[in-house]
Amino acid sequence: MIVPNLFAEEFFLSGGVFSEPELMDAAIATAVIETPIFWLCGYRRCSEAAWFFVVNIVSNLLLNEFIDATPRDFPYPAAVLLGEIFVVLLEFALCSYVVEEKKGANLFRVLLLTNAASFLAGVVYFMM
Amino acid sequence: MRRDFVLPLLTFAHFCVDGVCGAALAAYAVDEPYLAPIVYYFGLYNLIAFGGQWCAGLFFDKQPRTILPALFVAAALLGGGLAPAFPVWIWVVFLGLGNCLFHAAAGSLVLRNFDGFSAPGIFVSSGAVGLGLGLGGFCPASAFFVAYVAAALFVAKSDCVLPQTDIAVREQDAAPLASSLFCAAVLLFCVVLRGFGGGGGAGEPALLFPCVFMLGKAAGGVLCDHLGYRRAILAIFLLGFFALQGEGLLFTLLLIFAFNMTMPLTLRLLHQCAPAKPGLMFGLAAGCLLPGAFYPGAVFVPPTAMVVLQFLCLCFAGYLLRRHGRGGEEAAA
Repeated sequence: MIVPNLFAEEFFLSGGVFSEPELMDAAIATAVIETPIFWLCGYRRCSEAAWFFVVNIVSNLLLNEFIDATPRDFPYPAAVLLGEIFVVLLEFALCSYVVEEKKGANLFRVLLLTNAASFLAGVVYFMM
Repeated sequence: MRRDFVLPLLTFAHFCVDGVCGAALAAYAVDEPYLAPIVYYFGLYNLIAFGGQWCAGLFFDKQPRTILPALFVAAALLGGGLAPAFPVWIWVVFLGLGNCLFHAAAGSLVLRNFDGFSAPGIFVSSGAVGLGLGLGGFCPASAFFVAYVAAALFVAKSDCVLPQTDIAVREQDAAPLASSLFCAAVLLFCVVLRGFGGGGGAGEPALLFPCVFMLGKAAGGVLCDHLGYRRAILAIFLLGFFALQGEGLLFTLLLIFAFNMTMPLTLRLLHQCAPAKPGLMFGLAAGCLLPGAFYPGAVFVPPTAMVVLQFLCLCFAGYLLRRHGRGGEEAAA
């Protein structure tokens, strides 16, 4: 199913970690903050922690690219808040691949905690 | 006619029908000096062809015996749409109705007669190339039309409509109503979102984007049958994520490929939400592409958000079917 569209606009991707490698620094920093908290909260299997580390890098890259891509007239705090909500949901969905389904509620609470921790660390870093 | 040939025949017929409509619309647009009527008639065609499929699909669900005859009614309407004697609006309506009937009938046949994700993926894949060839003027509408009639004749010889009793059995397999409705709403949102993510570059070869659409849809279905639903949506998400990390045409094509891979998944899961109503669900999915066609710039969704939202919607819909529905075996795989 394809709808013939007279208004199809030229659209090409721009940005991303291949052209802006510095995005990776922030992603790794976030993963380094969040993974120990995740581990301390009871997810101590190696596969869980390793997967969470990777998931963190993916979600942080996407968050920063999302904030970069939001229109100029969109309020920055709203973009960050919206992005953080999506990050928690995305991490929950991705972590459910390795964490047992019955631990779902606990996983969600832990993800809120880890993301709050890295968010506060970010705020402190930028205020210093 | 062996049943094995039905899917390739329906896929070819889909290619031809979209080719007929694309070629006829392109032939009109070339001769029309003003933009406004072109926009109006393209809009009218889209509205009938894609907005009407759910009505036709619902009718086919109630009267499955009419599905095969509908392929010939579609042929008659498409033939009427090629008649030069009619005013423009009449042949645009004919083309729209013919396209609508074909999509609803053939989509319903595919969802009824084939299990898994490959079949809907392969079936929907060919339309983009047919439309691209037609709109690009590579092939006349009459050639597409003759090929469609031949394909419809072969499909009719294969008598592949499920008897009514099978549908009653499938009704019992449906998830609870509230869960099904919620799941369907999530999936339809996913389709609306994908409608805003289409398009192609005017400066690129005419068939480049249609070929990527085709490959994406077919690959999505095949991948899902091989990996299982959960692993497939993860693979599609990671492919989209990888595409977002680069820039330029190649990565854009990769992203569009990833977007299109989700189409057979949404179609099959929609069908699982209401197993007795494949036509209606196929038609609703088609109708949900219209907002993106009519208001292409109205909603700006960053590609990152699109990739994440598609993944979350597919995850959530699969979870709902797995948890509440007995009909969600494929989503559970």
